Amino acid sequence: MTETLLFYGFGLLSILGALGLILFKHPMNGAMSFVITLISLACLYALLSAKLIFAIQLIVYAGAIMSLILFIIMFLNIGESDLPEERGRWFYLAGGIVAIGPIAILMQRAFKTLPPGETAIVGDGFGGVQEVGMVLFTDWLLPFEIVSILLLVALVGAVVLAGKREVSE
Amino acid sequence: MSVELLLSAFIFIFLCFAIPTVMLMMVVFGPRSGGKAKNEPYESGIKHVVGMADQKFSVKFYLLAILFLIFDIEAVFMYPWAVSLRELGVFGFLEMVVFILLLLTGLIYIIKKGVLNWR
Repeated sequence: MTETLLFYGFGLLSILGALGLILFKHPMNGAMSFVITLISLACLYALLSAKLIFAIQLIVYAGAIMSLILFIIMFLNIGESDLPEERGRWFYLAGGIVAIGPIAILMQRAFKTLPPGETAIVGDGFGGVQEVGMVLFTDWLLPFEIVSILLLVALVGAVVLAGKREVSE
Repeated sequence: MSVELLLSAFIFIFLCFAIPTVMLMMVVFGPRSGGKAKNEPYESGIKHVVGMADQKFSVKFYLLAILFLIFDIEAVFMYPWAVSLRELGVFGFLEMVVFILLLLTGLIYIIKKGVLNWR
């Protein structure tokens, strides 16, 4: 009962945050409502007892990637005067809804045809932090070590692309 | 589901609805007063304030954010490792040592490169 209530609460919040992302005029307001969507999605993962995904969603997406987005917004330095007028935005939004509607109906029909037995809840340990850790560090050892090389390449690439130029003063 | 988790979830949902509501209430019911003298910027007697508050922004902030993201992902991998370290034993410890050493070379690289120096 409480799980259902929480599901509807977080689902509503994530939809509202996504709506705010596309409806707010200033990018900073949109980014802030996107944070709400990310945290609500993390809570939905927690309701599915995927605890590791919950933590990763909070740490990486709501933390690091969100700070990247905020830095980009600070970079572009958008004032009130830089924002476009957007005269026909409600008209375009209505057009978009009309265009997306058939796809949504199709998705719902596809969802309805799924047999109910296929969506059974998996065992208690699935998705827990310890279970994922055991699988990751025994069966998937080589990909895990390759990830560190990938991160190293990303680090060197970021430094070379963004940090190389000397500032002449 | 534990009681604390349930309560924190409800507090989060409540805050997400309460804060925008309070902001809206401030706009709708709050007192407002305008006028030419009030809207004029006044900075310690200086009549003409030079420049805007939003100044140019160094690219270094963005580079630091990228570096933060990379080491954040490293920290995420440590989380399941730390929970199941007892079962993994010495071998699991050595796995993480290799992982961290590879990223430590990256850290040494950016320190040597002087990326973290603020100039």
